[in-house]
Amino acid sequence: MGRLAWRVATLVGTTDETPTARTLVFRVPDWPGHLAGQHVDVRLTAEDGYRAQRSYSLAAPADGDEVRLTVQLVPDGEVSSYLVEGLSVGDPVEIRGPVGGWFVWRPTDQAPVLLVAGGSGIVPLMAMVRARRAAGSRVPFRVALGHDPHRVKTERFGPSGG
Amino acid sequence: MGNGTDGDLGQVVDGNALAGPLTEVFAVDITTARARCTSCGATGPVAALRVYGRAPALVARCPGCAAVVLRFNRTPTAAWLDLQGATSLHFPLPG
Repeated sequence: MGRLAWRVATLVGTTDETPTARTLVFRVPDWPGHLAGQHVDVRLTAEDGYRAQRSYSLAAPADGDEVRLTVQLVPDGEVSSYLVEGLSVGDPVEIRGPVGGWFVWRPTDQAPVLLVAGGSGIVPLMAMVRARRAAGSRVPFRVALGHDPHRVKTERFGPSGG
Repeated sequence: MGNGTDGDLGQVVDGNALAGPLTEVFAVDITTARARCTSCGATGPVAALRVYGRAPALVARCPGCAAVVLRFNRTPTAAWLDLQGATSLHFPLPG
């Protein structure tokens, strides 16, 4: 088996972010912590043994044993539909992670940051924005978010902003 | 940042999605390695490859020329890694 084991995560809360996106709060015993921008793999196993796994970004900095994923419903998506519409508080899933060291922000990073996302691509960026706030960092952040190229919203987080 | 890591793998996702599966065979995070495409010679981080999951394997293609760079399949008893499309992998490592 690999170095990263699958852990059982229990759903402890949910927040609807949009009509088709939901934030899931899981409790994962002995969670090792993570960096903003990292993700996890989520594995579901059906009663007949069929398995499916997908990657989802962590939506917030590490908070003890609690990890937050924001999942966008994909039409006909077998995993996202279960996570957004089928999973109830108390239900278990399996989680492997954290993984991914390429697209991360560390609170010690001092360079100004421009974050650009479309749709659910905002999720790992929100983890970075939240990590910046949690760390009391004064590094300037600018976030550009859009659903289509003609309507991009920008928000600035800097010494004078949030 | 590519196409994002998240979601149902009928979609194209970026190479970050390879991080979890390849932790089973690599001692370091492969997504931060730079891959050289055998087809066009371009180099870039594995994280920036385009990953297609609706196949028996994860198929990672060059974002420049679309050639297959890497394929990975995890069966119940083995892992199969095909690197024919990568001339080299360059890993950043601390001294």
